[in-house]
Amino acid sequence: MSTFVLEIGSEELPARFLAGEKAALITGMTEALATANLVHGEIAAYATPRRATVVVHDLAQFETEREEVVSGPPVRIAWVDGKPSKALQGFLKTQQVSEADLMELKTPKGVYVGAKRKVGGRKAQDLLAEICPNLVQGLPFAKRMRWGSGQLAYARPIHWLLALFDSEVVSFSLDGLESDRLTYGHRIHGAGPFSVPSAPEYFSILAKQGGVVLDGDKRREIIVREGTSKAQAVGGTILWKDSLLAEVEGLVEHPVPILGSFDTGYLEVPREVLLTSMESHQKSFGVEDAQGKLLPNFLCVLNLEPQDLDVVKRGWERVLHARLEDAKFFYHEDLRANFASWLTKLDQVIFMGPLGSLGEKSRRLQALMAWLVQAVGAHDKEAAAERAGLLAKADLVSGMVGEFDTLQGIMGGIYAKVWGENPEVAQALQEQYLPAGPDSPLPESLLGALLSMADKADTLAGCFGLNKIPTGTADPNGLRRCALGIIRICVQFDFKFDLQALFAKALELYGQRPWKLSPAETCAKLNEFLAVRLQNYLQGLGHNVVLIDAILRAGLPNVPDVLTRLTTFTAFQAAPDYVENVQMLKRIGNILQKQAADIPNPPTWQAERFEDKCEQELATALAECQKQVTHDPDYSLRLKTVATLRPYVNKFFDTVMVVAPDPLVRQNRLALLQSIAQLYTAIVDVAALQI
Amino acid sequence: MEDDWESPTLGAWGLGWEVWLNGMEVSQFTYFQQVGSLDLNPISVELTYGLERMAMYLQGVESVYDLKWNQHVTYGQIYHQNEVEQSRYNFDASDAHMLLESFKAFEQESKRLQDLGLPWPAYDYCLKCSHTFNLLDARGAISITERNGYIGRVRALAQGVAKLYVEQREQQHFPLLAEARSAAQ
Repeated sequence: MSTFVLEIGSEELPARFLAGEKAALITGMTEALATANLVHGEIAAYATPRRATVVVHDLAQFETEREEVVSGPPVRIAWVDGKPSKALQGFLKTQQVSEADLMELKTPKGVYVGAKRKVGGRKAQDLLAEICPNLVQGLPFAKRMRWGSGQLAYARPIHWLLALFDSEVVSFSLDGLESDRLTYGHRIHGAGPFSVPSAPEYFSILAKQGGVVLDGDKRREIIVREGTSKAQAVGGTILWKDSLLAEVEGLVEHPVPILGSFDTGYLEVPREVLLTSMESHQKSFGVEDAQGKLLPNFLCVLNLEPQDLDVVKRGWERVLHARLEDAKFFYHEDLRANFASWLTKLDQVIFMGPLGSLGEKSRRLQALMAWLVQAVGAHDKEAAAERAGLLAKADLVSGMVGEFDTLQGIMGGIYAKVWGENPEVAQALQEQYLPAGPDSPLPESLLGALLSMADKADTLAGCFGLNKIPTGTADPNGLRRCALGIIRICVQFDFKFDLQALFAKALELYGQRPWKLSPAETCAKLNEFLAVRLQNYLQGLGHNVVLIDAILRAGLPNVPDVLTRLTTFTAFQAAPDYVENVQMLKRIGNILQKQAADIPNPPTWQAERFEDKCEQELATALAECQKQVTHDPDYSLRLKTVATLRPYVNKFFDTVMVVAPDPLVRQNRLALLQSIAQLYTAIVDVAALQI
Repeated sequence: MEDDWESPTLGAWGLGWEVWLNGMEVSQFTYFQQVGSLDLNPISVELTYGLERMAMYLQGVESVYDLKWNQHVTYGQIYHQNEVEQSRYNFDASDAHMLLESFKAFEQESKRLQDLGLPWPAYDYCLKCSHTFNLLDARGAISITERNGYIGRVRALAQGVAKLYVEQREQQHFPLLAEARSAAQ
């Protein structure tokens, strides 16, 4: 068994590409080896800014050999006077088999000459030489570039290709670049080139002579371990942020974390601002003390061992000071303004094309918030809700949000607190952009939740009215995220109001616009969109696709209702007689569908029209069920009750013909079945179930 | 640090990096992919700006104006007044009407020169348009809706010049490329 290593050496790739690159190397290599019939052990991939490496352990030296039967000419023309005909001779030659290998193949078309042939056995090196260039060219990058006079498009210019099968170079070329056994290390701590005698030695040469920490997990470990201990030295802990850690790990080949400090005077600036400034501009982490107060320190990660640590540290501190000075300046400038002046400015800022200004949006949000507090029955919060709606977008014209757009909402909340707004209003402003993504936290306060929904419903209604409906993967206005956010908030807060009414209200508040769709069409498309997002969300929770569909077909009055029906029905499914129950319900459904015209409305039956005692027995049991579940929204009880009817229903079906010749008898029987159906049709569409 | 560059007015874009020196951006390195909306071949590279920032580092000063220009004068003594006046001009004092008229005139001139088959002077007028657009933009004289229209007009000039230039070089059999090829051999 052998080891194969492929290293693609390049100029510095964007950090955000590395995770996808690693995953694609593993899946690409696995698929290619399977296609090539090369048996192998573990496949691992590593990425730094300047290299991507894939290693295959325990790789077979030859393609797996196997026998294959190939079909030749029909037997009737294969022989002439006992000797191979021209056709057969041709077959023997192309397949490189002898007469002794021949056999007869009986097929529906007739009897043919066949031959057993050994295939496979090609050398692994030869196969890898074909696999590698395709693998490299097939790596998926969000953006590609060309360089020099070459034709190859890749994430950044490729400088070398190392390809070693044990101690042998796997020779291939890619846009004029030849594979070799050379690698290059860290630009400062081991530039190389180094000649690598064999694949397993690649790793130690790169680490020891090249000064490169190849494995991203190890780089992260070094950053976290050393960062933590440096923070401890000043009595603090690092505020690790996963996304930033992943980025920083992808910016270095030789991580050296250092702790810098800044003037305590900057600590008067809100924590969120300081952290954003450190994180987004300087790729540095904040530090806090045991009480959770920010310390005047930051952790940054170098990509080399500095000759003079003080010079380097002073450099980083100087840049951060300039950033914090800007932040402090914006903060003080903003504090000199007030919400009223910002609201006036919002009238000059365009929200989106024909959807008017942000000032108009603010007034719509104010009105929509008034509607929402009524919808959730929080009447006492109306004044605060309206205020939150009106102020929601004000901070978009603040200096701070102009500088750091990720602080939108957060700054609004901070300024609201400073300026003595109702704390509930401040919190709502702060939480309005949550959830920021599928795994992001949700608003914690009621008004925050409502404001987030109002903002999203307004954007959805406006975009749909303009027929800007997401298709394929394109979703420039983040409408899928809006819909998902609304769904998650409804689940979390158990909001049971009708979302269709929310969308209709949001659309109505726009007034007359140059709409591309009629209001009715807009609402219909929005509701459909929401249903698909809900389906997606429920699938993400692990529910069965067919069941979700059956539940949604029965109606979408509100999100928690759908979720309750889904979990209730899932429990019903687990019962031992589930299949029999569903068979009964489907049978009822089929008959009702076919005889829809004859079903009395309301479905009342008359005892004097019963012809068999099984009808009376069913009617009695049914009346008992109806008594139990009247006005009771408990879906679980409803389903259980329906199940108790099964013996009566079965006897009914076995004994009488529902579609009786006498129309009065027929309608009577259909009324019985329709009454049963009414017990569960709001829960699930039985026709869509599969058993 | 990944940082791609794009100039919509010139139909030019490329991929590359900003270069950090101890956390400070000191330069930008770009592999151009298109200029005048034409695919480049060979790809040209731009390493741009940063001398002042590196000099600040070497001289240990916090402001560019404190840089020593030579033994006698500072950068500030040479450039500060200029900077103040140009800022004043860009943001407050420029004559928007004059600039709008100039833009039209420069655009006409660039088109006329293109029709005469003179890409070099046509390019000068294209750049004048681009600069005039920047001045108008800084002054806030162009609304968001009009902005894209102006960008499109400058880009059309840049595309025209680029196309004309390539045609001209083609007629000359791309002499510098031939020279580069023989030098490489």
